Amino acid sequence: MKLKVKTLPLVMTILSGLYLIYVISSENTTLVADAVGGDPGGKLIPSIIAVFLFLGFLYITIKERPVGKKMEKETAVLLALTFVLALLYVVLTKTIGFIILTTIVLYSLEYLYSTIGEKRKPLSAVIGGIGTLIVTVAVYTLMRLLTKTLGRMARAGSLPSAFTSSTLNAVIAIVFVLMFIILLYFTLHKLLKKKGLFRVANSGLITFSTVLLLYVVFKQFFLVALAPGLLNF
Amino acid sequence: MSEFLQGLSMVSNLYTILWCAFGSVLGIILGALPGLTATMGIALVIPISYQLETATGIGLLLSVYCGAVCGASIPAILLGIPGNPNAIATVDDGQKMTKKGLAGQALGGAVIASMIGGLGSEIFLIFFSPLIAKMTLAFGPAEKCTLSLVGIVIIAAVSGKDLLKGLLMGGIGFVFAFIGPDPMSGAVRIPFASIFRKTPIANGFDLTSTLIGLYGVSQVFFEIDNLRKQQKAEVCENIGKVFPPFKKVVSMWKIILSSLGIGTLIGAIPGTGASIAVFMSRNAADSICEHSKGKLDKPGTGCLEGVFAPEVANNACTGGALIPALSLGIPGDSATAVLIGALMINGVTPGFALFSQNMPLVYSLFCTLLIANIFMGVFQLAGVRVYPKILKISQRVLMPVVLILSFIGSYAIAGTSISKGIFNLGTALFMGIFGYVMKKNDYPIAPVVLGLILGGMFEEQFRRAVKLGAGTLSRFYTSPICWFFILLAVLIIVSTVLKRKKERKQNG
Repeated sequence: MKLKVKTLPLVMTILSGLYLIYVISSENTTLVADAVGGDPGGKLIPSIIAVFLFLGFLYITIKERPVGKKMEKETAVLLALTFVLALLYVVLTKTIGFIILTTIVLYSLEYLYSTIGEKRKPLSAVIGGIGTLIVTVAVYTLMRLLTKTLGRMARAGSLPSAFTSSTLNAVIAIVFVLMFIILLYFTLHKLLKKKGLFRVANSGLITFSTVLLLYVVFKQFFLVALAPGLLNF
Repeated sequence: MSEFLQGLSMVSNLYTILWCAFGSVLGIILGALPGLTATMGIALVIPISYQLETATGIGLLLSVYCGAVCGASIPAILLGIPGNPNAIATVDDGQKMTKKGLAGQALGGAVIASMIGGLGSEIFLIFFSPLIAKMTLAFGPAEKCTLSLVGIVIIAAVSGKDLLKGLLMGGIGFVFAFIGPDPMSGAVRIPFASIFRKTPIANGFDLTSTLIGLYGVSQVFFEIDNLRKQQKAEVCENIGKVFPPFKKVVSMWKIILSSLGIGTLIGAIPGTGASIAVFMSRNAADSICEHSKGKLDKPGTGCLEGVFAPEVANNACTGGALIPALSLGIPGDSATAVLIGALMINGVTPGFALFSQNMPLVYSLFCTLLIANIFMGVFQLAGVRVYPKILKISQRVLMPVVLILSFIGSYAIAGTSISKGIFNLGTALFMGIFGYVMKKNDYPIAPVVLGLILGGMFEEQFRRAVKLGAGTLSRFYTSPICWFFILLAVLIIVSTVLKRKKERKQNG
């Protein structure tokens, strides 16, 4: 007879058991310079928790039975794709960089999610993705060039010294990006919509806006070191 | 007085006010969009709050919190779908008023009620939290240890259908807290220490990335299931007159006062929460209307009374819930659990030390809460005609943006260190997958957060107490406060088990 058990509590029971073995086998850590004694050490509470987790999950494993509800195929595919893209994002951010990788991942997800239950057009989606990437990188390069030039000119004395301030540069960058968002909305976005590529146009515009606005907010305003990756100039 | 003025000066600048305004609008939008929660909103703005001055950062967090609670009434009234559980009781009368063509008055009434609830409960917060915090002066290591145990038990009891699952999740939170340096000796405690000793994991899990992973990333994975089912909802756009008649509002003073009292009290009792308060206040309003000799309409008939009662109560809960959260570090629900974590990330550790050593910061916090409540009202009233349009934004468009925001947020907390940022990204993804798998299997994730926050404190205080008792548990059994907390934990467990049994019996 095949015994049916729920996978999650079973896995958690095994993991709790492994954690218990790790805690028991590890060295006990006590208070530094504990001349008086009395410190129960760093193993006691983790051991109690490990035993509690092991017994608790074991009880649930024995008590609960699987319901047999399966995920729909398209949902499972979407979930798997999201996992993969998220994993790639974590692994490749340092090498590829924030701008390029975020554009690729966000555009892919936007397109995939917005076309759920619809017939997808893979070729136009790929071309749309490449186009979004080119436009985003181009506007990013122009924006960097503009803020860097203004800063250089201010340092040389051709412009007021206020232009060396990162906040003013961030404000200029955000205005620059907003101008491009409006421009793209009234030109490329409308053109693509007219040609029946509404999903591609929407995904592209959302990606472009999100990536560059996030860049300005975190990099220019908060001075976070967003990985430059391939765009290291 | 000088401390109050210092606190006031910390927030009386354009910078703080603008961030509070931004937080309020963001909170209202997050509260209004079904699928996005106040908890998620707080988790997502932590990285931004971390970059700001402490008082400004806290102002941003509180504005998101208050805004999200209030914003949940928008879909409740216009769509009949509550933005979060706090607005469940608003649905009935709100929807009926919309169908009568009174959507504007329902929305306007909800905002005014929320403001009254938020501001009214703040008075209780200002009065009671320093008093309760003062009581913690008598707390030694044993008392602090048992207090953190009560915190875990409470959150396990309220955040899921199964108490055991809640407690197990709290235990997992403890395990996450144990990874990293030993709180007493500083020795690294991680499996395969020889490999991981020089990696960021040797310092333990980053709290921000964990919160973002559990509430941001996991929510995106979780909503994928719903994206397929999503259908375009009909949103009423004919809002009509926004302000309810002033006379009508004044005539409901009994309902307002009773809801304010219920909301603040229920919010202040850890483990209860707004979803209970809204129904209790509605019941109270029901009985007040019955005895009003026809002057007031009965809730359930599509009237302002049925909107006012729950909306005053749910926003009164925000001030009430902050009383134990700030004075004891005990949250009432998942949103305050995350808020406590967010405050700690911003360098504010709830408890007596905060009230005794940093009163200006406490006053600044009260001031920002006041600003948050005012902005919440102003922006929701001003945007009454705009927010229905926001409800049309598809989750299919939003979820990828939320995922990227979650990643950037966890990365940004590392500041200028790219490698630490990458480690944070990994933590957020790991916690996101973990949170998703657990949620899918009906395991609540709020206890994990609290376990992670309180685990270190629990262990450290336990070891200190045992050491002070010369290796025995005497510090625990000789302290009446410890007995009180232990009995309270037992009482919560027993009452939760009995309540669940009764519910199961009722459901057959």
